[in-house]
Amino acid sequence: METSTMTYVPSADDLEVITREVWMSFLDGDPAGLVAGGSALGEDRVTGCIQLSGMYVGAIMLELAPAAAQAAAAALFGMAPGDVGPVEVADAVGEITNMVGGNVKSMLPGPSTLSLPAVVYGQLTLPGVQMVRRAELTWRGQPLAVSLWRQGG
Amino acid sequence: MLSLLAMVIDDSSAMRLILGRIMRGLGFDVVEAPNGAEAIARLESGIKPEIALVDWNMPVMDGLAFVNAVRKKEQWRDITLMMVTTESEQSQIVRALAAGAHEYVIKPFTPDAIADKLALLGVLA
Amino acid sequence: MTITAGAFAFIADLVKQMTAINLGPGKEYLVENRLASLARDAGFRDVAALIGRVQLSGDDRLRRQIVEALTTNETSFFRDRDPFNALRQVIIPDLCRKRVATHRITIWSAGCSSGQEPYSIAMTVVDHPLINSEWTVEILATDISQEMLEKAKSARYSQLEVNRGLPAPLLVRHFERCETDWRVVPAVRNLVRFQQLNLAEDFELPWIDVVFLRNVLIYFDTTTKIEVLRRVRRVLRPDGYLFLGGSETTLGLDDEFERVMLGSATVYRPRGAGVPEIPTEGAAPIAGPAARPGLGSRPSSLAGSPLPGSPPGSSLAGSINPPGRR
Repeated sequence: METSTMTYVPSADDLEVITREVWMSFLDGDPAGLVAGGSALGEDRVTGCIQLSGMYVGAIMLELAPAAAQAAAAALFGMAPGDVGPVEVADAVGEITNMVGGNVKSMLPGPSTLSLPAVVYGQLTLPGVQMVRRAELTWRGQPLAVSLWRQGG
Repeated sequence: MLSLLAMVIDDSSAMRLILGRIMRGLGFDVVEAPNGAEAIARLESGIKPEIALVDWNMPVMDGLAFVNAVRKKEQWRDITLMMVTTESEQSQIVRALAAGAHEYVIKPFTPDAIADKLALLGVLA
Repeated sequence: MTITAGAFAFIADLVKQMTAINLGPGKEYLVENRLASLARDAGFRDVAALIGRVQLSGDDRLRRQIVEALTTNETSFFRDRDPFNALRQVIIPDLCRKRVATHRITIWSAGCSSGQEPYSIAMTVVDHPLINSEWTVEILATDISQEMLEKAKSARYSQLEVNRGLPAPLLVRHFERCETDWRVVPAVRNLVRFQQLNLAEDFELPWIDVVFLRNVLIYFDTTTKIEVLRRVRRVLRPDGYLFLGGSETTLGLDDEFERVMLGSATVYRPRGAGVPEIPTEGAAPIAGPAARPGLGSRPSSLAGSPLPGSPPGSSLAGSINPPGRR
């Protein structure tokens, strides 16, 4: 199945809008909290990933600086950042990735299936997929990025 | 006065926490399940919630399968089923409603959105 | 920059009094953000100073500006539900009986803001079993803000906006996905005509059957409120209907309106219009389990035994006892 060249591909702005809605609903009520741009992610990062199959084959990744991942888990669980552990971080990053991913999926050719999220510490390499979009953002001084990947590119 | 019971079904413990907090804030008692199969098991054990908030993508038994299973049983007909999920395509919402879900909340949502939907359903005055 | 708990409580109280909207805890950032530009434009050092002034003086105009800044985007689809249930169950059937000669119904959403109200009215009309191709229903949506009108005309709403107040079956029936947004489908959109209009100035409009003037009067001082109601009454048909916002009333402002209860909905009619026929078994409410089998009985705004009417022209007028609630 060929991907039609006429199909709308979500823009970096779209990825940002979706991420912003998730942030504002659960993590940070301040609309100015999440800003576009900022510094790049370092090697240390937490990566959440959901994969897509069906009409669209690829993945959506959410990468956060470790401090941002911790702060996100703290916000989601209503805990102090110092109290969150790897289990909370994995759950939180997984669910946030699920929410971002599900909303991005609705803009892609369908029907497609969303996998359960996977969360790793570090950078994730998915063989056979190419990045097609990336939005880089900053939250409370920490970098994060949302990217859309497609099989075959 | 007896509180109403809500069942929150989601594989994310963060989401169960958030929804649980919202529902308690609205006056419900809350029971949780991490997937559709465990939720069915709880229903079969005699727990009778007024409403179930159901995620779609979960391991073992997903939310759509859960809705189908609940709507098949006469003794569970009174349970209001509200999907709370990131699946946001029109076709998915249609599928869920056709399977018997009464309402549908797209993630991300605000607490107000949940309260609104409950009011629409008549579960909350 | 963070305002004190006392200042926030004062503002929350002010908003609650004027609009019945609750600014719960966690909304401090909203107050700070929304009032920042107002504070700046009004020449205050910061938001705290702005609030301080309002606390000290009785500055009415500033109070209203603050309330407006904080509540403008609090609109949602089918806001408060009751008026739309009343529209569907009582008013449209009543007008279908009364307007047989013209087969025309005109509804005005005054102060339509970002459009959720006129589109909610349009959805109610489109779904109504009595409205067929023989009927012309026109929905006029006006606002003073050209910016708001443009947004309303675009008929595009975010995921967060469509999550509010809109039953899922209506979402899938009357909206289509449009990138990250949802857009009202043409069949519903085409019922609505948008026009800029300033209620505080004289205007010309055709005869109107139903006016939605909800949470608009709060932004005016008393004198202007009276003028606005007078202008509205001038274009409202003698047997027409006026909806105000939840915390609003014509009492003390205009004697020529009488209050009528339609189930749990409060509506105002020109004096002498009386009470419309209330169906004993009406069409199901906009959304609600009452229409679905197997869900047990739940309160529905107008279901139940026949409601006693009351003599037309009685003051504090035509109130109908609401049906017993569960």
